[in-house]
Amino acid sequence: MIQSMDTKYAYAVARIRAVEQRMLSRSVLERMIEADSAEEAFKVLRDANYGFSAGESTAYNYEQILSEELEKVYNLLMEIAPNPDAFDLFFIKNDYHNLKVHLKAELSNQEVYEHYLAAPSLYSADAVADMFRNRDFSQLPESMQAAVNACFEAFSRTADPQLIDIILDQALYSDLLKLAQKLGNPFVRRIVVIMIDTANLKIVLRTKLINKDWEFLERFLIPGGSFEFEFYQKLLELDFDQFPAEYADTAYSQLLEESMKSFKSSRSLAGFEMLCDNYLMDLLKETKFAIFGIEPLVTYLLAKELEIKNVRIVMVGKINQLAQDVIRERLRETYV
Amino acid sequence: MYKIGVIGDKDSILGFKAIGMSVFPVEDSSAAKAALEQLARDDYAVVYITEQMAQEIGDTIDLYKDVMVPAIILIPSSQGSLGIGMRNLRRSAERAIGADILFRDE
Repeated sequence: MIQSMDTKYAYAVARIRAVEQRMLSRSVLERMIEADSAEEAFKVLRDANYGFSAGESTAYNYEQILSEELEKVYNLLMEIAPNPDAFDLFFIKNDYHNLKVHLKAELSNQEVYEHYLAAPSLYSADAVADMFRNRDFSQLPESMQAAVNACFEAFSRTADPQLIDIILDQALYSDLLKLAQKLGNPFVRRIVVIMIDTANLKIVLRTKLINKDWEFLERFLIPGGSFEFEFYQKLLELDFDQFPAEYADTAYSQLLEESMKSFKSSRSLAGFEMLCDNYLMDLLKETKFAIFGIEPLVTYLLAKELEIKNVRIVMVGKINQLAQDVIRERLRETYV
Repeated sequence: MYKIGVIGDKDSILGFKAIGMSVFPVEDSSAAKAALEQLARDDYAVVYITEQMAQEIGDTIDLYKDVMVPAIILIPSSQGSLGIGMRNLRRSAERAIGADILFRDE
């Protein structure tokens, strides 16, 4: 088991253990699924004290409640973490997302709608809007600045909006690795590496599905994971059936077995994405008994993100009146 | 250039955005009405509306029956088809050419 002896987290961990009790269990989600209407399902969230304004909200505003709930989680962590900077790592994916939105809007002469932006982020929506208005990105960390400039440059050369995704995604993962390194925590580093490994595998699977070649694939792959690029080059040449064997001696062998089974029966990657989430959840559960260190805090954050994803699956399912089993088979593993 | 707009509940219509249409998610009939009137004013040539929404704002839709634009087309929503879209199409064809040539065999 992963265990740090970082006693300065003792108070924070105690607080986390208390709030963890209020997370939604499988049986609560089950109650939502079995509700007669979306409104009934939403009531369960209201009873669970989700968000800030669930009391005066309706089922159709569930997104608002979900983002409020996430905000609550971040506020709590910022309040109790002895070194709030440690969580930058979990903010910057939203910053990179927001940069993407602004870049694409600007380069296609469209407005930035607020609901495209992701929160919480290191730089507020207003701050980023100002940066784009003044074309002044000097407030951003160097890596983000460089990425934004590279996007402008690449787009003026090629007019290909996909390059924006490629450049910013690469920059995001390289920042994540750097921040994890700086934090020096093996658990956080492992999470980042898993994110890269599963992202790369997803990229390979999608590339294969649309019959593109290595030259295409290579531009998208993210460096810094557990495997060299040659590994993925080899994968691209193989049948889906042969993938599990390639991963046989790695931490992902079981994930691959199950994923390929689900892919074969459905020809869709939805099952694989769900299994990736469950894989992460299994890792998170290893920290359940940690008393010190940042691990329980990180776990709480990521477990809440997965919980919110589950709630979103249920709410979308209820609003669109999907069959209960259809919702159930899409649900991720829960933390409690 | 004329534009295509889509009105309906978010989950039914968001996908149209990916192919360049403008989507207008609405949750109730008054919002749907307002959206449709806005699109008509903004010179949209084609407006898709989910059958579920169209059912509730039939009066407003009828106002646009005899004008060139927007052409209002009903589409099924994520909850399946109600058959009103097809029925309207048949009625329009009958009205235009005097006979139901589209669905005679049914």
